[in-house]
Order: sequence, then C-alpha cells, then structure tokens
Amino acid sequence: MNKGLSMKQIFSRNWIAVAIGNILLFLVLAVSQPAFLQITNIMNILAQCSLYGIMSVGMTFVISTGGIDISVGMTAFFTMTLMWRLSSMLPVWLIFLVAILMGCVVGLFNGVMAAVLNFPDMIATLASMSILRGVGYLLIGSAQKFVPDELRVIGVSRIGIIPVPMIIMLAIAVAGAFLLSNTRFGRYVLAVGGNKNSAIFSGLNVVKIRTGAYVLCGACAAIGGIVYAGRVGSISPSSCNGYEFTVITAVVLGGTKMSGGKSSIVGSVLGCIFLYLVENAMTMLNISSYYQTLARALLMLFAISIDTFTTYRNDISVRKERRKRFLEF
Amino acid sequence: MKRKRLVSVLALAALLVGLTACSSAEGTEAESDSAAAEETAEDAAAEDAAADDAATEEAGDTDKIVVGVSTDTATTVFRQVELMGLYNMAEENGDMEIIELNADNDTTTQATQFRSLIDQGVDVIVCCALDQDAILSSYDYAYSKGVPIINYDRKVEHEGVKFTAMYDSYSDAKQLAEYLLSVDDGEEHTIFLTVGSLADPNGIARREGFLETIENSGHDNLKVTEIMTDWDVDMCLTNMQNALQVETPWAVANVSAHMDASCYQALEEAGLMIPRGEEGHVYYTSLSGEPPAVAYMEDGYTDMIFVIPADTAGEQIYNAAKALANGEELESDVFYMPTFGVKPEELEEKADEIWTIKYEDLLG
Repeated sequence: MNKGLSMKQIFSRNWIAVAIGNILLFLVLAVSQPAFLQITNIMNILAQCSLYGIMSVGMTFVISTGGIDISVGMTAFFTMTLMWRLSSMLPVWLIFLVAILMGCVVGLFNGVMAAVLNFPDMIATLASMSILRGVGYLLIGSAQKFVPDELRVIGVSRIGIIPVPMIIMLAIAVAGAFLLSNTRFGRYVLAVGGNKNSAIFSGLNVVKIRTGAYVLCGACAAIGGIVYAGRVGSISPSSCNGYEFTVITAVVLGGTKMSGGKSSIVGSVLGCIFLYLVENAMTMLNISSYYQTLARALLMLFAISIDTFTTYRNDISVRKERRKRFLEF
Repeated sequence: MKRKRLVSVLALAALLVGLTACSSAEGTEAESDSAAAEETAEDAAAEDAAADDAATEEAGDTDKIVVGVSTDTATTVFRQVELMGLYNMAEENGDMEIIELNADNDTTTQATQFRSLIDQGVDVIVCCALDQDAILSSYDYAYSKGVPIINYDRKVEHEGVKFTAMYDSYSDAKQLAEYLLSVDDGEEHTIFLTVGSLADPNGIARREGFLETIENSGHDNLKVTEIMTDWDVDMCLTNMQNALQVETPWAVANVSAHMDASCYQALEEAGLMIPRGEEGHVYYTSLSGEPPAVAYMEDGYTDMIFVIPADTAGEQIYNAAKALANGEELESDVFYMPTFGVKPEELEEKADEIWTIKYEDLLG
C-alpha cells in the first residue's frame, strides 16, 4: 500500500529545486519586507507571472518532445495585433476564439515544419517568429496602440480578490499536468522526447505527437497574448520581444530537460513564480537598478545550483540502487 | 525518402518560380527599354532629342548628393519623425538621393548594411547606432573611405563623425527633476522614477540626470525609488505594482512617455489615479511626448510633459549632409533637439509644436 510520498520520493521530483528556491526566497522576503506578505502583493505576483505561466505550460510539452518553440513571444504579439484589428468588427468572445484558433494554426505550422518537413525546430520556429513579427507590424503599424476596454476584460478582471489571469493559469496548468501525466498523449510526448527512435520503433506516430505539442504551445501562447493585451492595455511593436527566453528559462528552472523526456508542468509554473518573486524582491527591497541585473543573475544561478545538486544526488542514489541490484543478482 | 524528394522538388520549383517572377519583371523593363530604343531609332531627330534629355537627366542625377541612412529600427514612430525633415527637404529641393537600410535591432545586420552603403558610394552616411561600441569598426571603414558620418538619436564618439543630431537625455531628465523640485513642499516624499534600459546610453543618462539633480538640490526630504523597466511596458507595470505594495509615491517621473499607460494602470489599481487638484493626487511628469502623454494630460491627470521635438532633427541632418557632401565646414558639430515643457494650460497654445499632435495621422 502506498502510504504517501517518502522524503526520498519528494526529493526525487524534478520540480523540487525550484520549489526550494521559491520557499527560501519567500522566507527572505517575508522577513525583510513585511509588506511582502500582504495578500494583495501575493495576488499581484501570481497575476504578473500568469502570462509566462500560461505560455510555459505549452512550452513544457514542446520541450518534453525534445523540440523548442522560440516563436511563442511573437505568437502572443501577433494574437494581440490581430485582436486589435478585429476589435471593431467582431464580438469580444469571437475575437478571443479567433485569437486562440490562430494560435493553434501557428502551432500547426510550426509542427508541420518541424515534425513533417523535419526542419530543425529552432530554425522552423525562428522563421515563424520573423513571419509573425512582420505580420504583426503590418497589422498595427509602427505606433503604440491601445487595447479597447472590452478586450481587456480577461487581463484586468478579478473574482473577489483573485485575478482572472491567475485562475486561467492555474486551470491551464492543472489541465496540462493531467494531460502530461495521466493520458496516453502525455506519455507518448515523454516517450518521443526520451528516445525518438525507440518511440518510432514502438509504433508511435511521432509526427502527430510532435505536431500536437506545437499546437498546444501555440494555443497557450495565444491565450498568453489575450492576457497580455488585457493586463498591459497597449500593444507596441516591441511587445513580447524576447519573452520566449523567459518562458524557456522558467521551464528549465522547473526541472524540464532541454533534451526532452523529463518534464514537469508544476515545475514550469513554479519557475515562472520564482522569476517574478525575484522581480518583486528587487523592487520591494529598493535595490539600485545597477545591482538588480547582478542580483537576478545570482539568484538564477542559485536556483540552478539547487537543481544540479538534487539531480546529482538522485543520480548517485540511482547508481547505488543499480549496483545493489547487480550485486544481489 | 519519396516524401523528402517531393518536398525538395516542390521547394526548388517554388524558388525557381520566385526567381523567374523577379527576372521577368526586370525583363519586362528591359524589353520596354529596348522597344523604346527601337522607336527612337526610327526618328533621328527624336533620337538626338532623347539623347540630349537623357544626358541632361544623367547630369542632374550625378549632381544629386547620395546619402546612406542606417537606421536601428523601423518600428518606432519617434525614429520616423526624426528623419521626416530629411526626406521632406530632399524631396522639396530634389538635390538628394536617400538610400535607407533598417537593421531591425540587430548590430551585425547594421554593420553589414553600413558597409554596403559605403560600398555603394554614398557621399555622406547618416546613422542611428544600435550599439556605440559595435558600430566603431563600421565607422572606421567609412573614415578610411573618406565618407563623413552623421549620427542621430544616439551619440557615438569617433573621428569620422562630423555631426550629431540628438537630444540631451541628461538635461531632459534634469528638467523632470527640476519640475518636481519646484512643487516640493518640504515634507518627506517618495518619487517613483522609471529607469530605462541600462544598456542604452539614453537610459543611463536619464537616470543619472534625474538622480543627480535631486541629490544636488539639497531637498533631502525627497527619496527616489527606481522602477526598472528596460523600456518594456509590461516590466514597467509589474515593477510599479511591486513598488506600490511598499510605498505610496508623492510623484512619478516617467523617463519615456510610451510607458505612461503602465504607470497609470498601476496607480489606478492602487487607488492613486486621482485627477489634478484633488486631494491625494500623485504628481506625474513624463518625458518625450510620445502617446499617450497628451491624452493623460487632457484627461486631467498628468501635471507636466516634456516634449522632445523629434521633427526638428531631420532638417538639421539635411543641411549638415549637404554641407559635408560639398566639402564645407560645419558651424557646429552637434544639434540638440530643444526639449520643452508643456503644462496643462499650455496644451492648446503649444499644440503645433508637439509632434504627436502634429503627426497624429502617422500614429494611427
């Protein structure tokens, strides 16, 4: 009978490092800045990180297959520009639907290029990134545009004190975690990432699985765009520039292996929370802007060190176990 | 294998169709040229006349100054407005040909484009350098070829640079600080200062200009909290929200008005978006005049905006380029766009000077 998780099992989870990082940073902030513990601040952090949190769920699927999608930032940007263009033509719910569908189409395009045509994932999504940026520029021109109030409903609304973006992030994270751990598709995703050739020989439709992961990623990026447009309220040509790297950082911090096969949705979301806790800490502690960059880098290094340390410990215990079994045999 | 081959063949076919389309367009032009030549050959007098015309035209073209423009980005209206005067003057006088290449925020692309412009034989090169250090080798190249360089927007120190049209970020930020000092009542106050990218000389200069002015003013009652933005509206909103958890500002100094909406949203969420003249109003001042600075002032919130007249740069660049191409000495090697302050009551009066109002159609 399984009587819950042992400490050893808990520490073998790949998201444990980022969880420890979050807890330590949380404690430091709680002690050094009493305002940190205010519920409004906690809600703020969760609302702020929801954009990356949503995108990181999709990205986790792609990275789990051994791929990478560097077009997520521009997918979100393109979605926003499209929403802005459609704002006077369609009802709000339809605009959101079209935006998500376009995200899926972008994902499908990426999937076809990477999985069907076998272009390197990085190159395929780099191409989409440029295309989407170009189309986005054409849609909004070179000036900052302001998002109509009706399109901001998702980004700024709250249910009680809970921001809607946070609810969306949690819902997507729960659905993503379920899909990855409890469904055949999720297991196939990890199998493809773990060893693509074995997956092919096992009869898995690798093309479909990889394309599916990209479609999910595109949809998440589009939802991210909807949240961004609502939250920030304006779109400029530089919006979402470089967001893909923050999303990838969060996913990797969360314990997902870049080579695929090992991932954690919980970890990815915790990775996003960690990045925003760091951001929160910098401002709350009024750290000079010149030191902020350095402090951010050191905290990231610290989180990665915990990850490396826990992975190393796990590897040692696995090796010990194997040796023990071998000797017994 | 078959599918790969099919894809390769299709890709090759698409490439060929594309190339054919391009060459056929050129071909059409060439064909029409030769047809025109045949027609003129039928009439000797007409041929002579045409040759004379062509010669005059050619002479006219060679008289034209060729100016290469290397821009950092095509996605900022501010940059477009900066060059607007150059294009207008060139069109008006018909004495300048401009070849503009946009680096799309990539330093390597800018270096390549810069060299290509020099190799095309431009008389003068105008450049908005993405990176002041990375551009130096390109400037060396221009200098070795004897092509004078004009900087705009960002300053680059190099012996080949003969003229710079820019704004003085340090002084501009100083004006923001001086305005807040002028309304200081001597009580303990916190000012939120947005800080741009610290990889950008303008970001650095604006931060220093503001902080040093406050520090040297003797107004020890004023404390400044820095809000990192990296010029990003989302980061600005996030860090404003974070700072508002700890402190209530007496004033906000925003070093680039394109982030006004983020600052105001954070203030609104904190219940601090209170109109001018009402109790609890947070003083608000911003720099550059980009949208939506004017709108927030009109709506009754912003107390003072400082407008950088981007549209004044182009004419100066035109004059400098023309003089340099003709081998003339310039009276001054720098032009600072004269940033000016606008109070709410002056908005109507100064509307003609504010580029965001003047070129509203460009902003969409």
